[in-house]
Amino acid sequence: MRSKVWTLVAVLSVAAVLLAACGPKATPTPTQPPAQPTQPPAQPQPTQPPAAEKVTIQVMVVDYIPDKTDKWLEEEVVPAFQKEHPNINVEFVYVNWGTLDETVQGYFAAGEGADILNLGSEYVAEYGDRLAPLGQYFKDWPDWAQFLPGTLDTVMWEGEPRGLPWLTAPRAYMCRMDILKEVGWDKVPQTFDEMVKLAGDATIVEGGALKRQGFTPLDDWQEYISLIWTLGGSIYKEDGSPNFDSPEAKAALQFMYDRRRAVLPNEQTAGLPETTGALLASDLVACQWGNLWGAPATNDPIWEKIELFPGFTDPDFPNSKPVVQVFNDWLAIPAYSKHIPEAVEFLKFLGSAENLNTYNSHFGSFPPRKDAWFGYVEQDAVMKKMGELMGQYGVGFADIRETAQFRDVLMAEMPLYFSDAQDLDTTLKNIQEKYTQILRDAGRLP
Amino acid sequence: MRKTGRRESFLPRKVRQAFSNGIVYLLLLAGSGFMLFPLFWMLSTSLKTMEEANSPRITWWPAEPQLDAYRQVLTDSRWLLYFSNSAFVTTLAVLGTLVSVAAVAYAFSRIQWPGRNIVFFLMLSTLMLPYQTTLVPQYVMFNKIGWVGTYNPIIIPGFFAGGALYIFLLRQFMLGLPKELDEAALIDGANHFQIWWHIILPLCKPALATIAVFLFVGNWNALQAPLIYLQRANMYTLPVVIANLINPQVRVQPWPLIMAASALTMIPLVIVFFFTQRYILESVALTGTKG
Amino acid sequence: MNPKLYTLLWAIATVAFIILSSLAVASVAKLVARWRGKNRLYQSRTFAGYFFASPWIVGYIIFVIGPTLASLYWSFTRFKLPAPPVWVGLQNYIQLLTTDDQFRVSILNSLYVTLFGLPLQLATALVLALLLYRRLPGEQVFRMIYYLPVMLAANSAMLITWRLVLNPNNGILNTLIRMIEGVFPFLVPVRQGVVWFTEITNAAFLGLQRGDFNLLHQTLARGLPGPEVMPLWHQSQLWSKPAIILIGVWSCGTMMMIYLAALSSVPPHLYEAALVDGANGWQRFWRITFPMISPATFYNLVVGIIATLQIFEQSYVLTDNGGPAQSTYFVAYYLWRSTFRFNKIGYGAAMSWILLVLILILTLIQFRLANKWVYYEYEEA
Repeated sequence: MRSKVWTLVAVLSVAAVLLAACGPKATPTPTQPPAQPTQPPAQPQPTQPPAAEKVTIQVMVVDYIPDKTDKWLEEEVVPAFQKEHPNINVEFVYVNWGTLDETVQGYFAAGEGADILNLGSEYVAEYGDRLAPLGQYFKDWPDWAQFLPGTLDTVMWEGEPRGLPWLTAPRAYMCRMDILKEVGWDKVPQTFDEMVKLAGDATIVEGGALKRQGFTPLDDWQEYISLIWTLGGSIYKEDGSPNFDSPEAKAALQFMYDRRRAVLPNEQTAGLPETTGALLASDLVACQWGNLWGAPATNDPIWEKIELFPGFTDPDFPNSKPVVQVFNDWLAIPAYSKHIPEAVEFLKFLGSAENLNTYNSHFGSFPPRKDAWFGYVEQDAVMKKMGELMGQYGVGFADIRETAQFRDVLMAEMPLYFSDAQDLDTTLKNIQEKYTQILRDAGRLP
Repeated sequence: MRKTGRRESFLPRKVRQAFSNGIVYLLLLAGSGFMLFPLFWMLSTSLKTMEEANSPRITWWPAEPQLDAYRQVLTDSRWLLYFSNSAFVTTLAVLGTLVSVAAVAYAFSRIQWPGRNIVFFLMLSTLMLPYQTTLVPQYVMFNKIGWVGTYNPIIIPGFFAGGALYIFLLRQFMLGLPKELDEAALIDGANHFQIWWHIILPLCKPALATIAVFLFVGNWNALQAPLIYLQRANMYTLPVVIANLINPQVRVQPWPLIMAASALTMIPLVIVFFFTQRYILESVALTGTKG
Repeated sequence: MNPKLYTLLWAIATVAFIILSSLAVASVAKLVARWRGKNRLYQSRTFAGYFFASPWIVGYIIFVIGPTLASLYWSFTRFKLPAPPVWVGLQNYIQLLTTDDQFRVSILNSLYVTLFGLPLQLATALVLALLLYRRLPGEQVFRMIYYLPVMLAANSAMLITWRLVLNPNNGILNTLIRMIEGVFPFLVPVRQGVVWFTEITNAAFLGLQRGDFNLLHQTLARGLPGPEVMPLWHQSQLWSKPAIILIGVWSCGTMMMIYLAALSSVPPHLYEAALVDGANGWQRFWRITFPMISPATFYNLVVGIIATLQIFEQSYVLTDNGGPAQSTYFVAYYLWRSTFRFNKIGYGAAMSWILLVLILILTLIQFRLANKWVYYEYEEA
């Protein structure tokens, strides 16, 4: 038996050597446990002039409408761009939100991938240190001044821009005034307490199931952050530690609980049926928080009955002011890119007023630069109103540190409180402790 | 203790038998209902109009079944691409895995060689290894050789006889074939490759068909690996696309369309199962009997 | 290049590589055999054996040994790509086993499904097998119907369908329950009892999980739920795990087939003897059938535990990121999120090793206990 084992070991080791020898032909050195990544940290080379030879840049796009946005990009934008820059080819890679994180993680892990990345609003804190600083490229670009200051916050990391905003989607509150009238309300709620009351008044529960929901959504972690900001609070303290032991964090969560209880008398109530189409048009929902993408189309006549408003305040908090949470999706250039100057050229081209206007018209979102607010943005009454609210109350959804883990903590703790499984103080204490630990593990806190 | 085996009964035996069979049939039918109703619902929803799918009242079967959702999926070049992606991945992976599994099973069943038992034991022990243990290092490895973003990582590993269970299954089957077959052929001067290809494999058709179906199902349904390795929308396979159809933030779900796409995804599985069920049902039983 | 063509070329290269490496391995094996002074026949058998087994051996080295060793090493490091791993000793394991609530929750969620879901799955499979074993006409059709879900269950298309089916408000399942109750009103209290029992057990389990029995107290205080309360399935943390168990039970066809095979191997003379002794059907089942098919139960149990501990698709597709309140956050899903979302590769590797050890321990316990209740024919002989 022992000799057999030794034979096996010998054979295997010889085989391994042989494998390593003839490996590169088929699978390059796969027997080595790939423990030490060897790719050098790609440094941006700002002084390098645009190369004369033909280069290809890859652009990863998340928000696109198939057969519309992609056609526009490939058949109109790129040919126009190549008239000015015949030496730059542009290729597009389309992904969707569900797989974006895996894809981007993969790019950074490999140290290669698309040269321009379409990132979400809160991503700069996640990837900022791996994106190329672009200050010197945008320094002399006159268009830079046209971008709305709030949207530029989204792309700044350590004092340098890391990309260009290209889609702005504000989230505000909307109510169906006909339903409100029916339940005795002639105006939208002004205070937190009124909102709770209205949510209850407009709700109909029958046979243990919701027939009409006074307010939706009832457990959105992003709205929770928006509400903290509404009360004048912040989710971080001065020293960068989480701020969930603040009175604002407490009042906001308490409010969400009260509003939920007003809608769902208990947690055994069945929610709305799965539906197709915008909820606000379905008569199933009285009030909603969200962006225009999830709302009825802005040319839908139902909008005559819908009032758009920035939110409500709490008289107990003197600093409170409604907040319209603004999501700015943006295009970033990763530090690993070998074609940063070319990618910047394309960004500048794509970021023109006309292009941003066309792109955003596909989603009913706003172009992130002021001089691009023409056409549908001005002609459409709903867009116009939303634009005004954003101008007055907009706060960018940015700088959310370790977003994915933070989200998991909130999604674990908030529902426990909402379902009475744990009380308010425990919930806030848990969020505070867990988020502190996450920030510490990530090296963002000592 | 009574002497007669059966309790005395006022009903004649035949009536009792028929009665108990009736109950068994009822139970079997109830079980079938439970097994089939999600599929029924998938089909019914895919044929509904938006209004019917939307309505809080339940519509069991649409008044006028609509094929619009199917037409929409089947004329959409993107969906056709996803189908062809899934078909490509599945075909290539099944072929490569099947041939290599057949070779390895042959070595474990029809040839005596030193170290066979040790290697066989090693192979069985991989059954215990959670998929996730190797998933991550494999990801890093494929990343290093530039395979992330290609179909390679979800196809090529199978070529190395991926799937210890299938090797085991086929080995069991091959052990059951009479030894004289290859002995006679060896005396006639045939080599092992010829024996494997011309004698053993043709006799293993039922088992090979079963394994091919299992491999087909596994690859057609695979979600985890395609999710991390295929990084472009034009390379996605059907499960990845469908898993991302639902956007919980928005709740604007075109259910008839989603269900039509899902039904079309299921159809190849159902067809394959229908034509091979006899082999499969036999072989599943074989895995359970101890080897 | 077209990605499909690219992979096709790689596939051809791989086949060439496998053949070449198999030849190499086999030649070395033969050389060793000759060097050990074995005869020609022995040498040629060695060559053939290693040649045919090589695809697996080579694959094992590349795709199992290498990655497993790498994973073991990383589990002792802090590894955030693209930075190289940094040795941290046992820190990952210590953190996982002591301070990481999320890990404790996810392990317990997985164990819940194993503990409650698996027996239910086994029982359903056994009942179906016993029904089919009557060999009534049409048995083949029923067999097909019962096995079909196995092939479909893992596809995300099916899980999305379940989402629709399980909608607590107008999903077809709850509607069906209401309809059946309309015909048989005596079932309403039964359902109330089931709802009550499920919510109590789940609230108790959540209490154990969190060390806070608030929800249990409230559920108890509420008493028997009213007749209007329906199962909330993936909408509620008290019902999400039962929903996943339901899907598991739905796809119990493999276990059923294994039971069916075991049933047909029970020697008929045992039943005849029992009939002579006057045993009724119930006694015959527990005294003869159940012990005789215990190897099948054992097999189903071992395979089932390994499978339930690796549930992933359900968390990803059905319940949207392991919700609500992380009640379907299973260990395989947390591992996935740690690695591919949080970029904590060392931490994820440590998790996979704990999962491996857990599977090993559970399997060992099974084998230990097996002596007590699994009946093997050869012991008798």
